[in-house]
Amino acid sequence: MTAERTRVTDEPRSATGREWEVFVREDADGPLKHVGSVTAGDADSAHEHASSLFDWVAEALWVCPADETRRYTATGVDGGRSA
Amino acid sequence: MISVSKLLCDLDAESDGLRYDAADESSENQITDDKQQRPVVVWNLTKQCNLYCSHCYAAADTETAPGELSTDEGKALLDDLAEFGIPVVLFSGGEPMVRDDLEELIAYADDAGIRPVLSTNGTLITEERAESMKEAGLKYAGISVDGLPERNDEFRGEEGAFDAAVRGIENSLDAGLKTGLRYTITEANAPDLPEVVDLLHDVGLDRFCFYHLDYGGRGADISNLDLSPADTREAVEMVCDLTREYHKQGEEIETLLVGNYADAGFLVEYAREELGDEQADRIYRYLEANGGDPTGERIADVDYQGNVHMTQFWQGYSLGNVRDRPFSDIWTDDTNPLLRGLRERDDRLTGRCASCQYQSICRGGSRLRALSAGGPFDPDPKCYLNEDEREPEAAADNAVGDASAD
Repeated sequence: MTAERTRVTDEPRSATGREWEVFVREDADGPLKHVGSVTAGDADSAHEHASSLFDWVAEALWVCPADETRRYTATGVDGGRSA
Repeated sequence: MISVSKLLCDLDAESDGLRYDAADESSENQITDDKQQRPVVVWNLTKQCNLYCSHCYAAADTETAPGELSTDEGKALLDDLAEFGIPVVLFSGGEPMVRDDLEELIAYADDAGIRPVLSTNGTLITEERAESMKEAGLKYAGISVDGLPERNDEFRGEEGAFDAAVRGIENSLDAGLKTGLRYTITEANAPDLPEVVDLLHDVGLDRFCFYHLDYGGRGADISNLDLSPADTREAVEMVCDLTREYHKQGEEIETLLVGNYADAGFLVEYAREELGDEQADRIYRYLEANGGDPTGERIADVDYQGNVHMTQFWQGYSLGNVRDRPFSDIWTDDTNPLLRGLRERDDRLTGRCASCQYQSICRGGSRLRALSAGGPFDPDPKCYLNEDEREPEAAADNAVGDASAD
């Protein structure tokens, strides 16, 4: 059965800076996994912040601006309210 | 959250079925043989606040922020929390009382079987609001005061804030609400502590929670105002002495320490000195059963925009957002290496924490402060235990070595 996903609202994710989604690959042949998000003013600061959290485990680390990410879900609290 | 009055004076507080809440909740049963299975959830209802406190971890502002969870989204969140077995939800902010659906959400949580409690600056607690919150099912109000009037008002950015908070405390008590003090100890207000307790005890308070400064939000900006290790020890000792003195006089005040689990080791040392080995060993066993610093385990936070954090102070990193995924799924996702690592931190703690005899009752102290000093498994820079206390055998060996060198 295919889950019915709807788009999550585009409401801001932070009131104190820009939010950056963080992705980590723990092993060279493992998957790149979403591991949450950090608040930072720019990409370099986001990378620095995420590194302080995941350096001990990350083979690779990506940061992507949350406000450039479209999210679709079948399970959020707003039921995937349309943006 | 460590109950000094329970450990040192054997005070039983009002029953609430909660152990360590780290969230300013009533403390009965906080010392048990069972470890709390689900976290207390702090929900920052809003970023908006009528004050502008210099240590605010949520970086609250006088304006509301875009994207706050709506009433309906909040109820869906509470449904998930209830189904997941969350024992307590702490409504916080910003100032949660600026939201006009607060009573509706309190009642919803209470009906769902979650114990609703409140963290507030107290200045908006009128007689009417105190009664309406009580009627909605609120079980406890923790009201922040951070020093004697002048110092508190300076800290909170508003003249008259102290008097307004005291009025709020009186209104809350008059409505029959269990009410307590929240006091964040800094270099500036540590000397005020005994006098504030005396003053508010006269008003009718019997519960006092003392918070160490954690480095989140504006708290990070004033980390230079944090107490030195020696002054922290002195302040904690003052809380212990004050608690015992009140109890000797027949005044059964409840006192708690929050935010620095070096306090656990200190309390054992204090008890060994003041009360003897048997009491110290008993206190150690209680603290071990409770499990030390609760980050990522017994405390969680959902901010006003739905981001889930590992403590209310750790706002700069989010595990996920409840608009994408239920809290229960985010919290149980062990594929997150940081969450998993913190839950298995005993094997990962480094430096002086790795060999500390109090590791099992402290678990490294604040992981957020540790991050400010290096990484998530580094020692908490605000540990104030000395080497004799952390590693008595190594300290003795070093002393022998030093003597031989002479």
